[in-house]
Amino acid sequence: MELTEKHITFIDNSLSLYGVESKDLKEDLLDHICTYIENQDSDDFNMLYQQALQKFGGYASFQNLQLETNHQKLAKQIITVNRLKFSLGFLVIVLSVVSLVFQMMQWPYANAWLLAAILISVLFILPAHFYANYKKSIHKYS
Amino acid sequence: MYSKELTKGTLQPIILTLINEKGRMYGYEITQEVKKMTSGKIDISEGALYPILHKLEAKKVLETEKVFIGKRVRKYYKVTKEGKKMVAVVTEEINDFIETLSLIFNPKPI
Repeated sequence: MELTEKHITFIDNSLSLYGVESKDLKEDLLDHICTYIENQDSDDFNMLYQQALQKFGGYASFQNLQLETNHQKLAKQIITVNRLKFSLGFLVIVLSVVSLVFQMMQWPYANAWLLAAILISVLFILPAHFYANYKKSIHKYS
Repeated sequence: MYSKELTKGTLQPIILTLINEKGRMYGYEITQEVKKMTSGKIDISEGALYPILHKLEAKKVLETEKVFIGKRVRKYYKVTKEGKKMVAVVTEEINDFIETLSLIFNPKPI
């Protein structure tokens, strides 16, 4: 069967309606369903569209695919945040040690190093930690 | 047709090897090619295919090339240069796995 622009728009809208938000996932699913329909002999669009949906496992499987995509995206974000936390944590340790050495040697700016370590912890590490926890909790209940 | 439980762990190597051999493939083509090559014994479900493709893409094992077909986009998946190394590792691992399985299911008489 040859698909018209109307058919493609209909499938595209249905995917949005049933929870497919990710652009990449939608492009894949749209092309998959369209190719399936185009490769069938029948001219009954509704019947072929329903068949294509059944092959996917119904509308619920679209939502599962979207959840899976969200999960992969979240995992990537969490890895990035953890790397950032690790790098900044290392920097805080270095600054603290430098500050301690400067204090012991009674060199100037010992407090400045300590202040920098505290500022990095408060302004970057803690917000990154809470952001990652917030993202995880949103995903858990989505 | 083999059960999902049996094929689950081998889907990623199958998809990866197939894309590597063909150069570039799109989702529907992968499912049909696997079905054709295995005479319908392995049927990759759409629900399993795309998470695997997206995971491999996120790991930079696969890259995509978009081609416009009228009003829609077709995404062709290709193995990246880094991904080629993974294909070699996966092929070796799966061949080793097959040999190990044959030790259990087809033991040679002593």
